Amino acid sequence: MLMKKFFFSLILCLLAMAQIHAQRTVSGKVTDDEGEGLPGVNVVIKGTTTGVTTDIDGNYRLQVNDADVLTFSYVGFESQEIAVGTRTTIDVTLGGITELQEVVVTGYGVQDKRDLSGSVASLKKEQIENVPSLSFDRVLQGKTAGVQVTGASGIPGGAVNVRIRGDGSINAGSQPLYIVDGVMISGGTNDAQLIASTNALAALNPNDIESIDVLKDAAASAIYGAQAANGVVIITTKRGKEGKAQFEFNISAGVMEDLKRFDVMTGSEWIEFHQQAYINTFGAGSPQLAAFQAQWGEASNAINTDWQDLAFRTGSFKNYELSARGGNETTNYFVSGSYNKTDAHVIGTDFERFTLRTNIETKLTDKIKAGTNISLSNVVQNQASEGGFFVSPVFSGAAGVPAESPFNDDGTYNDNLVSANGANFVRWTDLSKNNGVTNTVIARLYLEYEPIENLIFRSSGSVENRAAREIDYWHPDTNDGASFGGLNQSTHVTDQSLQTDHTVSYNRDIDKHSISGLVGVNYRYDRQTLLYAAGSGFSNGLLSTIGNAATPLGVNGTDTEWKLAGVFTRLGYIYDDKYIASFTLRRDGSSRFGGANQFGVFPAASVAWRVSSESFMDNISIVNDLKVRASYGETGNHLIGNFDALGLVGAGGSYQGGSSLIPSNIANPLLQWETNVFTNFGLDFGILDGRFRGSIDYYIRDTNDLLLNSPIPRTNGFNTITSNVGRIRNSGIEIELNSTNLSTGGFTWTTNFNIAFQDSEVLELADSDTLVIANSGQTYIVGQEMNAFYLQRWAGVNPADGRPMWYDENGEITYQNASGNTRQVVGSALPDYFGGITNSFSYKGLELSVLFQFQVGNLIRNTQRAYMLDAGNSGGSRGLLRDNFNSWQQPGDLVPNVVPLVGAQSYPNGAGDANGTNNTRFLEKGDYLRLKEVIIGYTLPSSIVSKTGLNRVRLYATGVNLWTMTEFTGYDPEVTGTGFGIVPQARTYTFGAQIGF
Amino acid sequence: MKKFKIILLAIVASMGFTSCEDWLETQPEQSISEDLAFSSVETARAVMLGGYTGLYAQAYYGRDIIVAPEQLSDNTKSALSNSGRLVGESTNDERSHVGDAAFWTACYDVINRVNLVLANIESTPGLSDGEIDQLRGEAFFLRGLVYFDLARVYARNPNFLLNNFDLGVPVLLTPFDGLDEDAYPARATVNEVYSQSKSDFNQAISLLNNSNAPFRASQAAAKALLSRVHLYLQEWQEAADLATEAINEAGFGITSQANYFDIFTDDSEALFSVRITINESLGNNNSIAVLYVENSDGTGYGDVVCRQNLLDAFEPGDIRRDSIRQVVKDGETVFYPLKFNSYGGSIGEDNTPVIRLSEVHLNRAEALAELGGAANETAALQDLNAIRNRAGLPNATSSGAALLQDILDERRIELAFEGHRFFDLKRRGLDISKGNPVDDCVTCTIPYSDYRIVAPIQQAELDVNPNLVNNPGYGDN
Repeated sequence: MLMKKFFFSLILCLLAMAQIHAQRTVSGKVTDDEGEGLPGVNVVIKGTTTGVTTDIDGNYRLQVNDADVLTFSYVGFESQEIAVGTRTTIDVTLGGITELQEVVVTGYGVQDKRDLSGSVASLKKEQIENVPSLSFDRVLQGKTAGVQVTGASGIPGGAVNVRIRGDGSINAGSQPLYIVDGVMISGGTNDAQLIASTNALAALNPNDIESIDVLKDAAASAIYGAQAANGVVIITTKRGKEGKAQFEFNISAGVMEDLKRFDVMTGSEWIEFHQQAYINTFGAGSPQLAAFQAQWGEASNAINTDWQDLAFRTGSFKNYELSARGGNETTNYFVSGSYNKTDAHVIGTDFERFTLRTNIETKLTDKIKAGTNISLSNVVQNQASEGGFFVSPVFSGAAGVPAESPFNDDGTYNDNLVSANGANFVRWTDLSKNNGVTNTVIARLYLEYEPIENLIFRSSGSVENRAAREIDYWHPDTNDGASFGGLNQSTHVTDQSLQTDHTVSYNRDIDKHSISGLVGVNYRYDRQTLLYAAGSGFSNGLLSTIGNAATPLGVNGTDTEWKLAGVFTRLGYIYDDKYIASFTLRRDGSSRFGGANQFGVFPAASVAWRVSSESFMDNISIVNDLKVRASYGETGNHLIGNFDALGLVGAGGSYQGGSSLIPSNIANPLLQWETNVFTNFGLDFGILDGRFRGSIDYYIRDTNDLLLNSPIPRTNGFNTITSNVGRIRNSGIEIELNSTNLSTGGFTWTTNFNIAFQDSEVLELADSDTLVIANSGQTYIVGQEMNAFYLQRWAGVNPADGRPMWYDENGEITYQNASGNTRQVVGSALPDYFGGITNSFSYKGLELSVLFQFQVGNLIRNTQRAYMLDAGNSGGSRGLLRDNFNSWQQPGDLVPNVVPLVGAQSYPNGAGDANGTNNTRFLEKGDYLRLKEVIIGYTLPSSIVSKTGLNRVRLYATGVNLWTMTEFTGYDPEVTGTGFGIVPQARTYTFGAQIGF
Repeated sequence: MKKFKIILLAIVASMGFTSCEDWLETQPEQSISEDLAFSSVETARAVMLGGYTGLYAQAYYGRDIIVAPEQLSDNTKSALSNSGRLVGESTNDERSHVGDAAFWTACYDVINRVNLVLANIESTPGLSDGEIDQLRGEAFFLRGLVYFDLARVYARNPNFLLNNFDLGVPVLLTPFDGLDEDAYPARATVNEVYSQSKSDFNQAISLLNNSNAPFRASQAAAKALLSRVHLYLQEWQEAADLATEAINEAGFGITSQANYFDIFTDDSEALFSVRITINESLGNNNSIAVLYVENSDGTGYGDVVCRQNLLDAFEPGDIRRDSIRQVVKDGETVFYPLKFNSYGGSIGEDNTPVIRLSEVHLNRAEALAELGGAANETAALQDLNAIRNRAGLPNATSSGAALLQDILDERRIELAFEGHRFFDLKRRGLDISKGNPVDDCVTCTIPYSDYRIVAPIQQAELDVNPNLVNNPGYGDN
C-alpha cells in the first residue's frame, strides 16, 4: 500500500516536469561506421530537455520545429549536431572515437583512466546491475583484481569481509574506507552487539550505483590519509541526464536454495553403526549395549529424519524498483525507490528493505552549482541463530540424529532429543526470534563555485544517521529460554556521522603542459551510542516485548565518539601526454591517537610514462596504448579503539554500596595509526585498436607500527600495553585483462579476466615469535604467512588396531596428539591467488554474461565435519556421516577413520582424541572454482515495444552460485574462519524485467 | 564573489593552521581520563573505593589469602572428592602457593589504585581537608596492608633468612606514568618492604580516625595491623604497645562466650573486615564459603576440610570445636569448618576478617611473653586466659617457653581457617608437620628450609621484567 502510494506520487511529480511541445515529426536511424544500428543514442533538441533515445535498431522518432537543432550523443562516440530544416528523415552515422574514454573517480575528483599513475580498479553499473545481491560489497567479488570478498555469513544482507591487497592488520580493523557520493560511511560491519543487522552497506540499493572505484595503492588513496590503509572504495550513484524524463521500472523475482549437503546416515544406518560402537567399547553382551538397543529399538524399524531438510528451505527473492532520471540545462535529477523481500534458504531468516534516493543538481548561476544526494533506507531482518549454537539450524541441521524427530507423534515438539545436546532447533526457530530493524539516512549537500574557468571551489556537508534496533527473544518453551522463563534482550544502537569537505581545484593546459592542483580540508565526527536492556520471565509467548518481562535483568548504555581532521593537497602534471607525475600529501589528526602523536603526515608520489605517445612508437601500430607506472607512499590505519591512547578509569566493582572507579586503560601517549607503506609498479596497455586492454600491477604493502599488545610488568597495574610495534608485509601481482574477442555483424564477445597472486609475511611481533589471537585462534608466526595453521600432522589410522596416529617433531609416528614442538606450519587460511573471468556475449538484443570465480591455496579447518564424524562424543549422538562407515573394524583395514567407540578418549594405550581439530586431520583445501553469475538478457525489438507505448523492455534471468568445483567437504568454501554453523551462501535463480517508459 | 572566497579561505585557514587539538577533543563517556577522575568529589571517592574492591579479588581477601595458608599449613587438606580447587596447596606442590600470578596481580592492582589516589587526591576541588586526610589515610592503610602481605608471601622473615637471600618485592609508590625505567622495578629487600609497610601504617594512623570502622580503614585497625607487622619482625615492645593502643581505642571488647559465633556472623569484634554482601560476593564457584562447605542444596564444594592434626589440637570442652561439622562426603568422613558459611544469606556472602580484637590480644600476649619478666608474663596470661575462658577452657598458668607455646597453640585454634597458620609458622622459622598416623599424609613435613615455603615469582613477570630475580629453588636465578 505504502509502495503504491509512493510510486503514484513519484510518477505524478515527474510527469509534471516533463514538458512536451511539438509541431511535427522527424525520424531516422543512427548507425555506426559499419552501418549497424546504434541503440540507446540520445537524440535531444538542443537547448531543451526534449529528446528520445534510439531503439534497439537505432531508430528514433521525435516531434520538432523547423528551427530546431538535434544533438546526437552516445558514450564512446563523437557527438553530432544537425539542423532539422525541412527534413522529415535524418539518418546519422556516428563515429570518430574508437577508444572509449574511461573516467575513474579518485578522491575529490575524477580522472581519465589513461592519465592515472596510481592503481585503481573500476566497476561500471553494467557489472553491478541486477545481480540478486543485497549489498554491493558482494558484487565486487571476482570482478576486481586484488579485492578479496568473503562472506562472513550467507544470510541475506549479512556481513561481508572485503580485503584489498591482503589483510593489513592483526588487531586494528582491516576493512576499507567506503565513500558513497563523497560521504565516508561507517564501515562494513555494525557493532558487535548486534546479531542480524551487521552489514551497514546493505542499506544501499546496488541498482542505484553508477560506478564503483577501488583505490588500491597509496598514490590513489593517500588523499584519505589515516583512513586509507586498507584501501578506499568509492561508490558513485546514478545522476540525472539532460533530456526528458526516463522512467524505469525494474521487477525481478526468484528462488534460492542451499548449495550442498552433508551425506548423512539414515535412521537405521545410524542405529546399526552405533550398536557396533557399543559392542566395540563395552562388548556384545554388555548392559550398555542392551540399554542402547532398548532406547532405539530395531534398526529396521527406525524412523528417518532429514534434519538438513528441516534446516534449509527454498527461499524466495523479490525486488521492485522504480526510478526516473532527466533534466534540463540547469537542473538534473535521479530519483529511485526500491523494495526487496528475501526469504533466505535457511528457516527463520529473511530480509526486507525499502530504499529511497534523490540526487539533484542545479545551476544557481552561471558559476555556482548546488546539489544534494539523499538516501533513506529501512531494513528489517529476522535471523535464526547462527554459529556453533545448538539452536542454530545450520549447525544442528547437520548434527541431528536421523533416528529421532523434532516432533512427537501428536505434532508437538519433541523435548527428549539426543541430537545437539537436546536442543530442538525447529522449535527454537519457530518460537524465538532475532529481529533487527535498521534505519539509515545519508544526506549530503554541496556547492560548487567556478569564478574563472577551471578554478573550482567545492564545499559539502553531510550527515549519516543509522539507528538499529534489535530484539533477541528466547521463548519460554525452548530449552535455553526455559531457564530464564523466557528472555528478551533489546539493543538499540545509533551511529551518527557528520562530515564536511572543502576543496579548491585548478586545472590548466598550457601548450604541452597540463597541470592540476587541489587543496582541501576534511573533518569527520562520529558518535555511537548503545542502549541495551534485558528482562526475563514471560508468562507466554504472546507478549514478548521487554515491557512484559517479569524481572528486569540488566541495562547497559555506552556512548563513544571520535573525530578526524585533515588537510590535503594533490598536484598533477602531465607533459605532452607522455610524462605523468602526481604528488599527494595529507596531514591528519585523529582523536584516537595519543597526545604525542596526534598528527600524522601521509605523502605519496607517482609517475607514469606513456610509451605509446613517443614518436618511436608511431610505427608500431599494433600498440595503441602503453603506459608504465610507479608509485610510492604512506597511508594510515586509524581503526583502533576510540580511547586506546588515554589513561582511563572506568567502573570497577562496588564496595559497601558505592561503585568504584578503577584504572581501565593504561595510557600510551605514543599510540598512533598503523602505517602502510605502498610500493606499486604497473603497466597499462591496449593493443589491436583497443580490442585487447589490460593492466598488470606489482605491489609491496608493508604495514609498520602494527598495534599489538606488548606485555609489561604487572606491577604497573596492567599486564599489557597497546603499542605500535609489529610489522607485516603483503605483496602480490594483479592482472586485469579485457578483450573484445569478436565484434562482427552485431555479435560481440568480450572477456574480462582478473587474477591476483598474493603473499604475506609476518616480519615482527611484539615480544615473541608467535602470536595466537585468543578468540579466533588465528596464528601469526614471524617469517610465516599471516593467519598460519600451526598444527601437529595427522598420520592416519593404524591398520593394526584402529588407533589414531600423528607425527611427532622427528616425523615419527606417535599416538599422542600433543602440542609444543610437534606442531609445524602447514599452510594458511589466506589464498595464494584468486580472481574471476567474465565472458559476455551479445547479439542484437540478446546478451549473456558468465562469471567464473576462483580461489586457490587457502586451507579451511572443517570443524563441522569433525563434529559430525566424532562418534564417541556427546553421549554417542554424533557419528552421523556416511563417511563414518569407513571406520576401522579389523586388523588390516586401511581406512580414514578410527575404530568407532563410545566415549571419545577411550582408545587403547591412551591414544589422543582422534576427532580433535588441533591437528591437520580436518584441515581441508579451500580451493574452489565457482560459476558465480550467469545473466541472460533480452531487449525486445522496438517494433514490438513501440506498439505498447513503452520505450524499452528488457527481460533478464540471473543465476548465482550455480556450480562449484571444490575438494572442501563442508557446506561452502566461501567462508571466513571455519564456517562452523555459519549460514552458507545460496544458489539463486531470478527472472526479471526492466521496463523503460 | 570575493566574500565567498574569503569565507572559504577562512575555513581552510581555521582548520588547517590554527589549533587542531580543539577540533579533535573527545571524552570517553563510560570511562574518564585519569586527571578527570580527580576533578570531582564523587569520582575521587570512587577511585578510593577501587582500592577496596581490589581487596576482595579471589586471589586476595576474596578467597586465596584466607584459604591457601590453611591448606599450605597443618590445619586443612583437600577432601578426596574435590572440585580441583587449591588441591596442590594441600600438598605444598611446587608453584601451588598463595602467591600465584593472580595474587601478584591483585596486590599490585590495589597498590596502583591507591598510588593514584595519593598522587592526585590533594588536587581534587571541593574535598574538605578532613576528607582528604581520611582518603589519604585509607590509601596508606591499604598500601601498608598489601606490602605486608606481599612480604610475608614472597620472602622469608628477615629474622630467618636462608643464605642471606633477602629480596622482598618491588616497592612502587607512584602510579604508572609511562614505560620508563620505573616501570621495570627490581625487588627491594624484605626489610625495605616491611619498612614501607610500617611507614604506610604510621601515616594511616596519623591521618585516620575510627568513624568508618570496621569495613573501611580506621586508626585502631591501623594500629592493630601495625602491631602484627612488629610481631612478625619480632619487635616485641612495639608490637605490645600498639596492641594495647588498638585494644583501648577499639571501642569494644572481645565478644562474650554466649555470643561467640557473632564474631563470624556479625563481625562483632572486627577491627577491619572486607565487606562482602551479595554485591561483592564471588558467588557459587569461588568464594571462601564454597571451599569450606558443601551445602545440602548442592551449593558449595566443601573441598577444604580439617586435618586430623588440627582436630587433635583442640582441648576437651572447647566450644570452638562446635564450629566444625562432621559429615560423610562421597564416602569419606570429613570435617567442614563453619566460620564462613554464607551467613549473609546467599552463597559466599561472608565478610572476610582481616584483623579482629582476639588476634590483637594474642599478638600482645605473644609479644609480652617474648619480652619476659614476671609482670609481662602476668599480662600475657591475662590476654591468653581471656581467650581461653571465653572458649570454655580453664586458665593457663604456664610461664617461660611453655607460656609462649600455649599462646601459639591458642592462636592456632582461635584463628583457624582465617589465613594465619602458614604465616605464623613461617615467621618463626618453624617446619610444617602436616601428618599424623590417621592422616593420609604421614610423611608430609615441609621443613622451613624447603624452597617451597616462599612463593615463586611467576615466569611471565620474570620474562618481561629483566630486573627481577626469582626466589631460590625456582629454576635459574
